[in-house]
Amino acid sequence: MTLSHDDAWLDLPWYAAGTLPAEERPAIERHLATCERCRRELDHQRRLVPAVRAIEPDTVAVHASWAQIEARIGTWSGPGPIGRAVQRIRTSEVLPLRLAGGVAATVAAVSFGAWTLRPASYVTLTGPSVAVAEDLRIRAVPGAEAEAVRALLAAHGLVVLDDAGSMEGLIRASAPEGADPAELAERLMGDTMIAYVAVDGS
Amino acid sequence: MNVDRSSADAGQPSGLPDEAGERSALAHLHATAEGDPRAFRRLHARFHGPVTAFAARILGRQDRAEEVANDTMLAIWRGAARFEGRSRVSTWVFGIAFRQALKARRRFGFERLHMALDLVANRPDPGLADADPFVDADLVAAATAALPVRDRALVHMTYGYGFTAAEIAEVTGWPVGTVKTRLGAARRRMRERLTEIAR
Repeated sequence: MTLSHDDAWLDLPWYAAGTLPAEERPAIERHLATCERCRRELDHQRRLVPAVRAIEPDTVAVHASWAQIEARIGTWSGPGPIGRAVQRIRTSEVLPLRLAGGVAATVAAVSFGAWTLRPASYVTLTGPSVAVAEDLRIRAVPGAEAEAVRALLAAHGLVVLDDAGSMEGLIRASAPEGADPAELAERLMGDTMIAYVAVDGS
Repeated sequence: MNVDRSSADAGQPSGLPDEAGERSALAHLHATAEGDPRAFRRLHARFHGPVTAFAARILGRQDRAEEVANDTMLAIWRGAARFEGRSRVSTWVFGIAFRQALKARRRFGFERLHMALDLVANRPDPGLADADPFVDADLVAAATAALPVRDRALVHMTYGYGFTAAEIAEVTGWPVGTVKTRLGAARRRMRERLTEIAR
């Protein structure tokens, strides 16, 4: 299989880190043999791997954390009979099929009931993002030009709600209708003039 | 998919279990699903450190990182029965940690990583200290600090933790192609930033 330059270039980090699947390595190696640009990029990628791994060594006090966790799970009774039944159904270790079907139906009924009675703020780990309000709180880096900050916010469609003129301190701004405030906040953080952004109500 | 992680130039990915460790984590996860707190404690001992370090690297705040790690561990305790065995246990755990970190970011706001930037500002001679700026962890920390939090997570998962592109797709929920192109864009931004800093 021949790999295009662009596809080879995209795969170089995993090749450098040793995590590209073995079956994909020969195609990259054939491309590297003919592409000086990718060989230079590979050198760069190989230097990045140990440099990234050296960032912020792990200094966590695991035991202190366990004490906190233990206190919190003390009030939690574990997965409980329904959770254990679901586990058994999945692994098919304990229950015969007919009983499993009955338990599954019960679980479905209970889950449906719980779902319909859930509070408005209910979210799941894998569900969609929490709905957020449309205002942002923003702080520019010290010394940033007020006009430049104002222009940046306007370029993102933000309307400043409490503009004292200096653009120092916390700035409250409203996101344009239909925009995702979290995405907008992330885009703003891509600008070196912005030190802090938070989404109101999240 | 055959991946030989031991072939990486920089050794094993930081803090993640090897294949034997994965098997043992799976056994502990099943026991945790049955409500066994001792098995959960083993999982906590194995994953709390790597998850905290991961969250600290992408959020830039140790205190927030510990909250993310604790929330992740609680989610594992409560959701152990939902693990379906379609991925490695560590990939599943990091998927939970990734979502918890994004939730924390929404809750606490976005904050530029001043510490990493200060490290660069305090260097005696940023332009001449190293013949090759790309091998310096402080500079790379500063370059990653300027990335959006999702891209920073991507960089750490790829280079730091040695996840394959397919595993990152599982953790983030993005298609593999998106993982690659998004990392490509982050690589270009990091290179620009490293060149800027070294100038």
